[in-house]
Amino acid sequence: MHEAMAPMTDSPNTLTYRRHVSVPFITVGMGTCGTIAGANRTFEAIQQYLGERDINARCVRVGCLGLCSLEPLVEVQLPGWCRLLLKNVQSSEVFPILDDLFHHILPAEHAFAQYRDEALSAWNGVPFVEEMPFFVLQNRVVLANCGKINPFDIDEYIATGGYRAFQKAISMYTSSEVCDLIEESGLRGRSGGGFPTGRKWKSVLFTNATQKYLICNAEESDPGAFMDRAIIEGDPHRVIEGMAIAAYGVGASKAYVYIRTEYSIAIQTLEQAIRQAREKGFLGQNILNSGFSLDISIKKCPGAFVCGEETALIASIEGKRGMPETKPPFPATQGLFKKPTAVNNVETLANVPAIIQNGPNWFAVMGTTQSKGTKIFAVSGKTKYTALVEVNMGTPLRRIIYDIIGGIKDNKRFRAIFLGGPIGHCLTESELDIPIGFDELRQAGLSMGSGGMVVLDEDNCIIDTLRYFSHFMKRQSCGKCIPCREGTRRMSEIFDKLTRKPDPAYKAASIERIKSIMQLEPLADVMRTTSLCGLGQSAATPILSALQKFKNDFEEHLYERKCSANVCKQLRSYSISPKACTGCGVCAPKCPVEAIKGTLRSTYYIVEDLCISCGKCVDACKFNAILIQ
Amino acid sequence: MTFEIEINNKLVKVKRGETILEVLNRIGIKVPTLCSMKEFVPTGMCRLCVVELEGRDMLIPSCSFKVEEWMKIKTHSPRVILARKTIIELLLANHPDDCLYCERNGTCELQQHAEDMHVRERRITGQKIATLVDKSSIALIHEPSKCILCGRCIRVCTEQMGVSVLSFIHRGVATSVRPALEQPINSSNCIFCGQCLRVCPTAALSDRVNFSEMQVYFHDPHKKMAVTYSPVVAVAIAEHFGFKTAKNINAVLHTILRKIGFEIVFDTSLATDIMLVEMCGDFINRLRNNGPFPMFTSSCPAWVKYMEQTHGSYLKNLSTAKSFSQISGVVAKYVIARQKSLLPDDIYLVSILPCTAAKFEASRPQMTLMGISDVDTVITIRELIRMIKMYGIDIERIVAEVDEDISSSASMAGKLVNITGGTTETFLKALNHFLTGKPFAANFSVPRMINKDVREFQVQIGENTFGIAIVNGLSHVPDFMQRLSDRNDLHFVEVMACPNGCMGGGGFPLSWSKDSDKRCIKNIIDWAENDAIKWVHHNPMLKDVYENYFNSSMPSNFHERLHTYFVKRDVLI
Repeated sequence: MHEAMAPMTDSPNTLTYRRHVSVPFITVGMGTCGTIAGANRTFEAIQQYLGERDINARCVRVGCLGLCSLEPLVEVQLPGWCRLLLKNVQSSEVFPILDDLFHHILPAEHAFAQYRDEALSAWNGVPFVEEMPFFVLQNRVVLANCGKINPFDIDEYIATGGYRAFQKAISMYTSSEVCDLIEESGLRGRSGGGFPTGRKWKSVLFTNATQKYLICNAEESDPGAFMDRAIIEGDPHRVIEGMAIAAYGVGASKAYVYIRTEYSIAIQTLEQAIRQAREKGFLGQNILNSGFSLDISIKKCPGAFVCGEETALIASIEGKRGMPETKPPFPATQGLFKKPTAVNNVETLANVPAIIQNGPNWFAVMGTTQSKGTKIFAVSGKTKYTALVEVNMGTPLRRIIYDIIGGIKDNKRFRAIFLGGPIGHCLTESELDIPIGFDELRQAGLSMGSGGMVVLDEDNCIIDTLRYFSHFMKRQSCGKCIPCREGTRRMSEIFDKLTRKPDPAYKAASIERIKSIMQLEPLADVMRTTSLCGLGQSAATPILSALQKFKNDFEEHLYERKCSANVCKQLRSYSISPKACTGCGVCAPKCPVEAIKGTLRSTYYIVEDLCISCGKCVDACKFNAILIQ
Repeated sequence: MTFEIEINNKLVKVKRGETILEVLNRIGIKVPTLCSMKEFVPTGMCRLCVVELEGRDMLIPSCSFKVEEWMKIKTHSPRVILARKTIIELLLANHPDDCLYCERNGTCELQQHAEDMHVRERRITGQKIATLVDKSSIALIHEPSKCILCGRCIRVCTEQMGVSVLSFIHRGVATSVRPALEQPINSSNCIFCGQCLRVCPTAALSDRVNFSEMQVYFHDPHKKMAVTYSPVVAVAIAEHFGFKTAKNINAVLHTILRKIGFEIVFDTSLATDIMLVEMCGDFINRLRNNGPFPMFTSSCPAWVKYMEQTHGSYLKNLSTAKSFSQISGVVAKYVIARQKSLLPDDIYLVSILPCTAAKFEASRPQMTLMGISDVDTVITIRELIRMIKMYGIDIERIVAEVDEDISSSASMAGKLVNITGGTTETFLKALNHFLTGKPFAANFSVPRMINKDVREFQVQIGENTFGIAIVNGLSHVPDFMQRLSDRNDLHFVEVMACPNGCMGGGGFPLSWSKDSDKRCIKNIIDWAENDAIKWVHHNPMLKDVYENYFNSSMPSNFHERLHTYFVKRDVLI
């Protein structure tokens, strides 16, 4: 473990003096996004700076604030001054920035925002957080503490009101009352299905068994989703408290967090948090003299997409091969080790403490009639920021993409959103005004997905993206049922054919290429209706939805063998401009299929039927004589 | 509790707890299946049995859904048929197209489904996957490219046999069924019981076919072709070709084998009697030396291999008597050879058994003495059926030629040992004779273990009381062995690796239904009970064989040709 990563704990009262600090107070965003951007070195440099200059200041690591592409994010609060948010603070820039700041000179390049406080003096020319749409248009309930408190310190969480909901639940309510409260609040599962959480808990609670289990599903593996990771890294105790309440609600005395090993920072954070919660007596035997006991274990898994499916997840915890089982029986009646088991998503559980604390009505006010509360989205792709945003249910996508995130990068044209990654629908511009909500989206023939949102602009090719997704699904299928295993494989082959010119050596290649694409839709439909689990059933979702909405792209690739976004390299056709060609002959030997013919000092030409569009000649030519169409 | 549901617009009475598939089978609606197996929990892997529920977008697998009142089922709607056909086509897309050269040509379930679904066009094409054929083992051949990953073999291997050799490895497109760490079968803990290939729908798992290498010797002027067969083979051939058991099936089989070209034909009954006598000898010796007890039977080669690799410390407890199949070799090469004034090496002995593990047993070095193997080739009933077809033998018109041979004088043990419990029954009768010389008490009976698991009981012989256990199927062995370490009341344990003993062996025809199995068991018991010579010690020929050929009284004093030894085996478990 890197030294700077070592969990560090501040004195219990860290939080109380944050508003009016007596010594400078610095936080560094050190979630996975920050760490990748170099926050570890930034953190070290800050400590080095403070040490060298012998400055008495506090430096604390926090989770992700949600602005992942602006990491490393550093917040500095000097005594008497408003708290300042600095973006992209690399370690090399720490010394000059801090030098400036301690002399009250604003490092304008890095200043991103400041927190308003009338009692303190504000920085000139820096926008206030309250004025920035990114912060104002969000409703950060689950993410309230992320990027604010030290995730390695349970006291900071307690100081924000943490574990009060749990104490309230075990002292004031019975298990079934807890389930009632959750059901009343209208909380629905956040992993995509949208099953009412209270109802799930009740069916576990009312199934007779000697042992019951709770599983927190943190196996978040669709490309472009990182909500659960950010919650655990930024506010692990909220998840633990949610799990504790849920375990009490369903009557479980043993809980598991099923988390992928790739989330090393999250695992480390969570391990520390569970240890601290145990020390404080929030976990263990006879918690707070209530008679309720709970132990939480972390179950690391190797990161398989299918293990996000609850029955596969259960099989994996049992030590078996992670393959889904047919439902019914549902895990709620016969789950882990054949005992009733509640499987909930991280975000769902993180919603629980606030509902218990503030009452179900507080929660039910947010959102739409059928979808209550807030939802976190991980927005990535061609947007201005890669970010984590939490908005009320019912917010249209357009507000998230354009108002909160700031639209498409470099003012390019919006093309599509893949909502829910490789198993989600793709949405066009016209669908951006649909309010986000389980039923609202379902009515429009779409689905919410888990919250990953991949935005494509005009430079992206839909077909190429689908090809990527189909290969991802092909690898991630567990191999159990035939439609999914064989279907995903055939799909990926069809997309390979579509993004490539037909093989000239094989006579029937052209006709097979067209034939196979004609099978795409019926094949996708069989996969959807007959597959065993959600993975196979939704593996063809993006393809079916793109077939409807981006028919032109398919036709262009198929008939014209062209990719207008210029992404599918193997569809390009190359020719040599007679004007520019000097006849140097450099390109011909570089061609792996000997498609370039000619004699020295006269114009060379490319035999199109032989060309495999690898592009090696382009790199070889010094006179820009190779034309790409 | 019964209620009514609607199937194809007709009301059907169903019982609560039945699956849809069970109901459909009962009312005569055929639904294709690939992964489903009777007596196993459905896994819903193949999705071929999907049906449409009115009002539901998703098709549901009928094998794993129980009937409920609200259900309105369509079993052959256009959507369902298209889905089933697509699934078959998906399997065919990258299947090696070598049906004509395939071991299962004509008996392949995938082929049959493709025919039933009328697949006539390659709508979906896929890249073929080239994988190596695993020919490492002496009994099984594994061809992963033909595997459709239905998982039947894994369930049989794990749940029925309890050895868990095969399992899924990798995921997604790379999924395949393999022994641990992708090692070849011969270095795995496979016991070659052959149960997997009995359930394999394609030729992904098949047995090593030995008859073509054997055919060479038909042309060898220096070799006399001899064949020995288990009485089970006769019953199975009768069942397979559907002729009346009233016919003398033994004589029919003799005639068939002679027509194929075997000069010496005899069944394993005499060898079985010798085996039992030798087991008695071993047991009496243990009584004298105070153990080690219990004595395990060693007539099942799959069980012996399992012991060698899993319970090395118990090897001393295995009876050292060779199995009846191997003793047949001794009978052929040392008894019959001498009768016919031949050298042991002049005889090429083929043994026909309902067993695939016997192929492995025959290849053990202990089964060869001075360069001469007891049994040269083991073939299964399947291979015999193939030979009958190849040699153009018309079973219907065959005229049985009765000829006297050595096996005409044998007890019914030769038949009974093929059923779990039969070895114990015949062994105890013989043991009683050798220990007391008196007839058995009239009320004595040993349970025949058809479809039973484990049975323990006590037997009074002379002054001794013996604890006896019978284990039917290898899956019960781990439990049994665990309890064994802290008990000393057991003296004799019979273990048969396959459920129901040899009658459930891996060498039976693949297309058989459970009813055929049941009929065979009934026929062999009936046949045994009609035998003139009941028990081993009643066999008048034994004394003659022992005195003239083994130069000893009964039982022999661990005659080197009749006894073997066991070695610890290092395999991947």
